[in-house]
Amino acid sequence: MRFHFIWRVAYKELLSTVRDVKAFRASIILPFVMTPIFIIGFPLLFGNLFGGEVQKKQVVGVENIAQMPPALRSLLESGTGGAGVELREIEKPLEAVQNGDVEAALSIPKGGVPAFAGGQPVGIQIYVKFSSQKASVVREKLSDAIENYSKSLVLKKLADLGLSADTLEPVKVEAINAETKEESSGGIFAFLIPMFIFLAILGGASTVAVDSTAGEKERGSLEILLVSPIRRLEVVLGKLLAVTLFALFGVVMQVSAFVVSGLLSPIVLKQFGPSGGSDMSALFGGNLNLGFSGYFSMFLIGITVALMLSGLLVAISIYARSFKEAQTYLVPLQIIAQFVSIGMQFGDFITRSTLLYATPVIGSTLGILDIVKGKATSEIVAVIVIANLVFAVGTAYLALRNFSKEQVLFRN
Amino acid sequence: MRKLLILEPRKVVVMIDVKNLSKRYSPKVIAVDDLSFSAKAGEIYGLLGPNGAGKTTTLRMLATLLEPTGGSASVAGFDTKRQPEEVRRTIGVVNGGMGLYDRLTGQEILEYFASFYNMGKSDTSKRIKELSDALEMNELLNRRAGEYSTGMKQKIVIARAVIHNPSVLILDEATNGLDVVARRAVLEFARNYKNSSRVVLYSTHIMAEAEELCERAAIIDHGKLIAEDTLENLKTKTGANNLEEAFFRLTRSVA
Repeated sequence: MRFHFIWRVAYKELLSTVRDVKAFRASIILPFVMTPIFIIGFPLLFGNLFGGEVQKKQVVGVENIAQMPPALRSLLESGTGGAGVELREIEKPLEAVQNGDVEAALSIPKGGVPAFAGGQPVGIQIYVKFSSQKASVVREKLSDAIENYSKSLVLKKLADLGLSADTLEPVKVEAINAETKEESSGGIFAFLIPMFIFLAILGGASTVAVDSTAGEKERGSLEILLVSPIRRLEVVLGKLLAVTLFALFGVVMQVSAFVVSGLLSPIVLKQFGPSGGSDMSALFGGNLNLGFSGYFSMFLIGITVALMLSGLLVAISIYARSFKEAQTYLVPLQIIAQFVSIGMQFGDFITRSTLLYATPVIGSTLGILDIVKGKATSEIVAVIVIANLVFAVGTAYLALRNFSKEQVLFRN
Repeated sequence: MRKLLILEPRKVVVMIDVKNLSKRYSPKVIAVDDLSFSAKAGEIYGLLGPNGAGKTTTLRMLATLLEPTGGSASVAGFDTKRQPEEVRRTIGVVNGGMGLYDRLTGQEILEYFASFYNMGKSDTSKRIKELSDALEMNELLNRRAGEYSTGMKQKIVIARAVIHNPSVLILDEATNGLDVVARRAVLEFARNYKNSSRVVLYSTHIMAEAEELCERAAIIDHGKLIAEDTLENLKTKTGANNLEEAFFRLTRSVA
């Protein structure tokens, strides 16, 4: 094996890819644009949207408005915590909400609403579209106001009887978040973090893999290269080296984007975010700060995933007759990576085992998720890394095998 | 220090020797069937046949890209099965694909291929200069191949094939898609490349090109050899006025 030949092939592929300005720029820009959008932009946007909705006075239709006690009306119009709502008399609450005439509607019983506690309970119906996230804000406003009104009647009754407000709650319940800082730092969308890494690897490496195999075949230059004294093993290893280096570049860019976004997030959100911005940021992983060992473990898994996928990308791409055909073949690979990542939002229900961590893609996704949540141990990382390396040897062998097959190389 | 392997082409008269060569892709598909011919140093040898006759498969076996399922072939004295690397060191190939790397300059492409023949930097520069003068491609060398016209590409493709001064030059449908000027340049290059120690194997389905260039030729169809002789003898034997007519008579008589 002549290493200078392998390096020549790899260098040519790298040079060619770097000069493909659009693809190269995308591999740098995408992680540094998509990650801050996710970690900083979304909390800002949703924080402002959610906050804006709270401050807005929504139009609420009321059936039998004349039967509404003035105290309840006052609570609804003034609001608790945010702006209240604007009440408008309507006749058919369900229809009014369905038609979009009002954002929500209340149905006050014809018999009216009691002004004191102790009698028969009376129900008030709130009409909203449950699937609308926007409507959930007005629904909460209406529920809070009605509950506050109901509570005020009870408190008044208790006071009349000479009892304190504590009579209502002899036992109080309080839930304490037992998560460590690391566990909560990834937010509920932590399952998307492995997906970002997989996409960065596939995005960068696929271009090189496809161009250096199916692309060369399509241009007719692969045949000419194989006619020179270089051996097929050296050609495959050179191409694998280039694909792997580019995949690693994708990992470095993505992990760096996480580090930078995690550092910038609190500063930006404090400056421009709404009051609830930090909560939103936590939700989207803006508090992501894994420390050196966390980022190093993530990087280590990323590298071995890159090695494993590089062989697979080359092995699959060489089957294709053209650039476009190869791209089609690689789509399922991207779908699998996304599917596994999205499935991992239910990762807490999965029983972890060594075998699961050693499973390609699934194990690495779980491992990255565990790192983000501060649950990964060095043993888990070692299992994933060793398994990925074993699979990397397998995929490299597959690539070499395909390169040795006449019917694959010269398929017309 | 790395040991340099110096391979001198052996002193042989027969540069390409094909004996009962066969390539069977599947039990039903035989691309080349018991083919035999030989080409000597100092000649341009034609491999003629219609599309799908088995020319490219034959050339791929000679270039060690495909393994024969029967028979044998030697190139410049090296056996294609036993000494594939030596064979590849001896040959240069121009195919009709004109495959170049769009984002590399002509200079970079030529240096890339020269490196696989263990040519040193100064030897490579010297050879590129020689070829640049011969093919009038000086202004192309520092431009990326993606900017080339078809004719420009063809010059780099030819230079790439002969960067290591091969003793066997294989041209496979090399004028496909070329305009009249570029086509003429390829024919001239092939004519000038042959000398007493080199052979040019010219594969084409265009009889006029073969008639202009070749001294001898093998005519194949459906993977089988139909005739092998000098062009004059082929015409005389068939009573034809030109090679195309001779080709038609030969292939029709077999069919």
